[in-house]
Amino acid sequence: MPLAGSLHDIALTDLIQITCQENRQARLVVQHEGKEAEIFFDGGNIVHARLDDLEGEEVIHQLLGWAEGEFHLESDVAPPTRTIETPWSALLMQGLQRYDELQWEASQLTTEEDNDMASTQASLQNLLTELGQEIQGFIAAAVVGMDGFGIANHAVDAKVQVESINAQMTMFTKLVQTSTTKLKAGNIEDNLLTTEQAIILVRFLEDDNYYLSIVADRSKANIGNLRLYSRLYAEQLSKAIPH
Amino acid sequence: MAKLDDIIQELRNELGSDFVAASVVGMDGLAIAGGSVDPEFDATAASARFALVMKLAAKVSGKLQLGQVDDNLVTTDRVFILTRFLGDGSYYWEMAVTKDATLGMVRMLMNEYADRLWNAIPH
Repeated sequence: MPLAGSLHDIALTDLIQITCQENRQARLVVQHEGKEAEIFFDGGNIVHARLDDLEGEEVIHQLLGWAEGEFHLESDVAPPTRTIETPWSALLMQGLQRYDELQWEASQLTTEEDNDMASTQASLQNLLTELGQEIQGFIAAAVVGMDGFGIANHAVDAKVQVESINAQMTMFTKLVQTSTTKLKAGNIEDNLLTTEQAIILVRFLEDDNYYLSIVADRSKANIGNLRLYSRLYAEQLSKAIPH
Repeated sequence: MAKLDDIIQELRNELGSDFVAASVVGMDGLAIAGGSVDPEFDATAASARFALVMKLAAKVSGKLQLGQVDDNLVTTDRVFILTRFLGDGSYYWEMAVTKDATLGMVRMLMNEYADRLWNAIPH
């Protein structure tokens, strides 16, 4: 009677080990994501493996990466050919070592991507901090996507709700942008909103997918200074954003 | 509304060739005075659209607890568009000027003319 089950319940390495130790002549069929592989056992070893057009040891190496899938093991099935000579234990050892190496390389790539992202964020953060030092009455600054989420924020006080400012100003900026477009009044460069307590400047960055937002204290800020530095830093921030 | 139009004409004279449009607008988006000298700048559409912009500005400022909105300035690659609430906020006035205009001067005029315009609106 064939043995069948899921690789979730019994690992492929265990299946191979048990079948080899029992000295069985058998065929193990493994299915994973629409693919089907066969492993043939004879005399306590793996003697043949096939996956699509691939045959031999390489198949075992690939199958060791299959953590999920279904299998069934049929006893007394003779191998159609012999493509593997390496003892099963050495074969598994090599395969697992290779699998670990691939996993390590993948994790290194992810780490590199994470490092790139962290470095971009650090550059943007540094520029926003520098910008804050140039602006009189500076309260907060952010680089914000048109989805309303900031990719870098800097505020003089942790109590400043930068996320809230980003979300509200994105909504407002989108309306201003639609209005000027419909009026055929040209492409929007910046918007300066003055309230009793604050001045909020929004300046689009190079590709219009992001903008720089600066909030300054109305009683201390100078609009000319705000517009000048927003222009200078918008250029640098645009360059620091990966495209 | 002749008085309002006279005040806007006076402003237009101060700005010369930099003047593009100016209107006094109710928060329903309908202008009660003013107009555009540039056929490409539709003053009626601008009044309606910027009424929405000013309403949202007031809402945003309220949510962020930044007090009442004074004015808004949009800079495009063609024009500056300034909008400012008048009196109790039931009207606003907007002005469009070319990029050659001296922005500081225009903002100052916006502020100076605000009270005169508010007082000229029949209540």
